[in-house]
Amino acid sequence: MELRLRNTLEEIPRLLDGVEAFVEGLEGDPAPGPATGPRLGLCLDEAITNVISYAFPEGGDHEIIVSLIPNGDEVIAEIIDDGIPHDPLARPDPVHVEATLEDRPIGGLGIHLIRKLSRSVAYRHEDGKNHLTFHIAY
Amino acid sequence: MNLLEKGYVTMTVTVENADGIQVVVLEGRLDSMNASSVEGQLNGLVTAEHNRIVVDMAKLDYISSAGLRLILVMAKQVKQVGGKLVLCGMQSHIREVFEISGFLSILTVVETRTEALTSAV
Repeated sequence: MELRLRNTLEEIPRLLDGVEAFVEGLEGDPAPGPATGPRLGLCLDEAITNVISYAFPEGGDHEIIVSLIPNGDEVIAEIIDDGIPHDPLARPDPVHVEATLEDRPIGGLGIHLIRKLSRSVAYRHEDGKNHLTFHIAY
Repeated sequence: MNLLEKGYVTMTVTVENADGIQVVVLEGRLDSMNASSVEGQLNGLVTAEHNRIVVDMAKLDYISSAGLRLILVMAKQVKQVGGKLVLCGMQSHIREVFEISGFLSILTVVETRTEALTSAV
């Protein structure tokens, strides 16, 4: 399945609707578990929110392409955008989950969630575009 | 309060009062699109006098890091005024997000609203 989104946060509800419909339509053995849809939706929301917020400093209309492919006991998700080159995995995970309430920074959680909820996540810059790919287990 | 003006209603926020405890009922999806609007609606909720808050998430179907930030901000505000914040009613996939974010160890989370009202006193 492919979803084409505009670079505005108003597209996030449509993204989450699309993910729900996609996961409901997955059939066969193995079948996705109850956590598959919520995990997939969350990881896509976090990654795409980052793209929308930071990849287009000069604004303008851009298209973000999301493809979702069933692969055995997992879904492979790929997000492609034509924004400025940005590897969200370049920096080490900034979130220290042991920190106390006072010491917890407000932010940095999005990429932490993607790392923890996916089996693997990878970034590449190809043909002038950012590609972020991650695998969500059933 | 709702987000009808957004054209795409994905989230409603209601604040109820239960014997001096403010109960924030979150319903729907708390995502990066509506988190700032929800934060605006909850702005001014925590004061020195009204510092006991319960957040009921039984009807919350989704939360992203934008929503987690909102909860974290609220927790810091409550702590500053010496109050108490208790979260309740999390569905299992919502609880998972709180767990891997490390929030379960810094926030008070219980199962039911009844328990929450007891521990927020």
